[in-house]
Amino acid sequence: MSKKSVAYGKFVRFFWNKPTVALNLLTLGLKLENTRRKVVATTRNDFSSWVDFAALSIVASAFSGEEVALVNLFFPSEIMAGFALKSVSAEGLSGMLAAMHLEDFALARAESIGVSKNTCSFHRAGLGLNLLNMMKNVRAVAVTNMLCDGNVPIFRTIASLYGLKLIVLDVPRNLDEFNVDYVSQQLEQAVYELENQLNRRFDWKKFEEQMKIESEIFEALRELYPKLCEKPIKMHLYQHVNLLYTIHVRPDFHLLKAVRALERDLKAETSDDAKRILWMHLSPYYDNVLNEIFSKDSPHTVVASELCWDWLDWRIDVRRGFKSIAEKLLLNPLLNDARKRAEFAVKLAKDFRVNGVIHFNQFGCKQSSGSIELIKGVFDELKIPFLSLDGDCVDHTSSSSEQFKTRVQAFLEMIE
Amino acid sequence: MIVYNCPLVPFEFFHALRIPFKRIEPISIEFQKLHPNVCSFCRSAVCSVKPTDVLVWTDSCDSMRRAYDFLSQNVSFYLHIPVKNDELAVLSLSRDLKRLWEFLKTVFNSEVPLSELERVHRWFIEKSIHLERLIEKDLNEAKTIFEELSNQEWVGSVARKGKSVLLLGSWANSKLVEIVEKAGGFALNATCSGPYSLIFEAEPARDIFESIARRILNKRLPCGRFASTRELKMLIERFRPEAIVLHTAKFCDFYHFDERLLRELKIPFVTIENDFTNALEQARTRIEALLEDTKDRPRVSVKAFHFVGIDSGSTSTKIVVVNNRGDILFEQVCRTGADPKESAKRLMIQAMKHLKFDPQESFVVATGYGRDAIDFAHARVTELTCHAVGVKHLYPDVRTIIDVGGQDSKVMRIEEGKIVDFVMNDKCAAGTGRFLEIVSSILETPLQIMGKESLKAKTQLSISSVCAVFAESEIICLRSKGYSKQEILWAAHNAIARRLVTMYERVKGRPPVVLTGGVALNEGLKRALEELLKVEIIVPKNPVTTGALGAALMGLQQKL
Repeated sequence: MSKKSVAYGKFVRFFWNKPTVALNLLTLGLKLENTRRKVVATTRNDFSSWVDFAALSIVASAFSGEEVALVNLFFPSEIMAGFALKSVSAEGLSGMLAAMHLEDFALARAESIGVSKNTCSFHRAGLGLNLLNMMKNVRAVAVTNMLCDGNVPIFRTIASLYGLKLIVLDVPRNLDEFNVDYVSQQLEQAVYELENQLNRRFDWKKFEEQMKIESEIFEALRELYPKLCEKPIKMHLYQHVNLLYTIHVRPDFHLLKAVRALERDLKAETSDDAKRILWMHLSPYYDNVLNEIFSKDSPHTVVASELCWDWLDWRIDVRRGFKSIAEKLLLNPLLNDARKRAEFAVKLAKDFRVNGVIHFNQFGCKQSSGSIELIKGVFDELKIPFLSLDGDCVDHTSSSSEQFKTRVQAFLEMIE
Repeated sequence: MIVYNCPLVPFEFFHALRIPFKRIEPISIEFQKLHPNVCSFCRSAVCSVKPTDVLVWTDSCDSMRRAYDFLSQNVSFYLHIPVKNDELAVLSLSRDLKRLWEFLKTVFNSEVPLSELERVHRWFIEKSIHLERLIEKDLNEAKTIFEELSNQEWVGSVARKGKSVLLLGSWANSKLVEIVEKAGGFALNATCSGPYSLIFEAEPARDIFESIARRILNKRLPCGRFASTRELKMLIERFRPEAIVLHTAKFCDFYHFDERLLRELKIPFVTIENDFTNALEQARTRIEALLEDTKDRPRVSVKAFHFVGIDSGSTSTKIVVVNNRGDILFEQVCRTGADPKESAKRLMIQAMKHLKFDPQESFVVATGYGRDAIDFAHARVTELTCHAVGVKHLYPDVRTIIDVGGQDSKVMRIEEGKIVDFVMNDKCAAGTGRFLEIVSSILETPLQIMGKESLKAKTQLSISSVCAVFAESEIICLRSKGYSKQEILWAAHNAIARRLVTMYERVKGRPPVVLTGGVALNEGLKRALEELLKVEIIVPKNPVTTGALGAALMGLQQKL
């Protein structure tokens, strides 16, 4: 998402006709950047540096030769941890390409097999990357229809490329006892299928270790939440994306380190005169004007991003295993109707005392932006300024920075 | 009245309760509160819901989920349909069906016993099995059964004549069937508005709700939303269609994925992305091109000595006259303007004056978007076929044609002179001459010289969007940053070429490649395409008239 990434992408682009060279350069670039982020995180030892490192580590493992499970953002990665598979999400991979302005190759590859360019670019580029044979050691492909049903045909196609059986988790829309059983039984079935596919046993110990780490992360976040609302820490807009990505795809010990650092960060004295913004849905991952407007040092700070907090109410019970994971999925406030989502967003807006809300409508995403008028109406009633911003998080050619700039600046002038 | 949104509903409930029911259908307005990203079928069809309707609404896709957010004033039941079909999914759905049954009985104050529901279910299964058999034997009877079971009008042909065309994909209406029939096809509708929405594998079950759940999840042709692979092979083996129309709603995420299998099976097909406006002109051209086969064209007694081809395009109208041997005698181009018929007539008069022939001594074939408006034409053929014929005449070895016109662009793969695959751009300026016109106007550089100017760029500047709206603001921004006109022009040509390369890859294009259309004269685009494709591009001496030449030659081919 930085100018350095774009410059490196330009360099890789030069070798794109030699796939092995391009792939090696991509792997090398990720390795170098990951090492740099690790050094920065270890030296600074603050929340956002650890989050930046954690997010890139996830993506980098897809190119490192480690055994990976290709999943979508909401598939419970705890299952993959039990098989010692590193979860990597298609959305994250698309974001990585976009950061280097290399997404066009993957998008065009997906389009060449007929995928409509109206399909969400996260999934289109994710599929394209696999069609380009860029992934090294994919051992499992898994998807849930939880928030996006376009995922299902995309992952069905990806699984077919590797000759793997697609693991599918069907998540109903309501949290009740029956549905908890339904989802947890599917998880058991997924484990059974993966055991056969991978020819190895599910390691309960590893699974429980992962659950314990997550339990520690969420407990700490819950405890810090009131302080964070009172005095939010300064983060760049793209760092919120890194955080939500890490929380959903692989909340591991790097994130735990980040959360421990957060406690220290919150104790530090900071001035708090910036206007507070709540961000809803995702934001563009490539170098763009929004990251300039909402930087760490800007007079307008994004203090919370909706998808960083959607599992805050999840009380992990390691003893209940799969049932506990089923509850996590079913209590997500974005799962049900738009009013429930709006209630959750209003809670965040009030808790963080925001001055305005921006909802980014990712092109082709129906579930998040379909009933945006309704969510806007809820905020209008509360007299909380709301901006609905259309664009594309991955395809940098399908948004205009000038249009972003005009809309966002007008909105910020409005809340001055 | 019960209103449902998708055929994955328990029709048996509605029949057993004897409550009138109907499916939502697109009407000519759009529900403006839904974001434009929502599928076009849904945006329009949700307007057909009345506040008094009792809704049985499935979460069949994200668009339907979001539409439901706006229907809170209705009495309704929201039914989750699993994306899987296994024992757990059956159990989950059967529990929800039981709840739906109780809900409907309460809402309509009905005391219908379960035994009645069981009887109706048995009747439904028998009828449905019968329906499947009748599709091949008696379409009129199949129509009666389909309409009885689903309360929907039959969408599809009832008389078998012409080439058999299988309609796949999402909800199609009779307008699409009419286009197929007019183009000489017999449309068998396997979309969710056709009989395959009611055909399934029956399985034994423990109770009535489980049995209905199995029926719903065991669709013989699963929808694109399901995790299982679509059983297209089964349909294709059964009906052996000569062509397939893959129909999808704009912003539907499911059915484009069928293309991959259809390409593997090597069946001629075309994808139609329907936005449910009345503008089905592109669909018509694509379907007609799919069904056109020069070899099958009937030979007619033509006494003419002059074979005239008129290509009525969106920007310009072209005429080419050839003699009995196929030699070009006359060619001319003029602007189409507001009256395509008048422009064509003017050109015809000029040709007759120049070559001194009467209308009776000519045979006219019209092509292009305005072909139907040319009432003096003896035959009409799509511009896709005409381009293929015209270019093949000039370059017999051609394998791929890239045609960039004013309003649309197309890439065709040719084998032995026949189109074997083609794609066209959608309804936007991306990848068309219109995009270059916009760039020309912003940079105040005449169209005729902008290609040449772009080649003077010293540095490689990369833009960006091929969306005309975004490009405009982006170009203005680049100018303000001090980039030269030439650099911006080169970047714009590269952007349009990238779009065309994607289309080229989609049809698996091969050299030799011929570039036609008005934009072919632009040297910047030619160079950009050559650099990206790494092949030499051939541009005919007069690339604008290849379609008209093809039309004239099509007339000559029809001569006895």
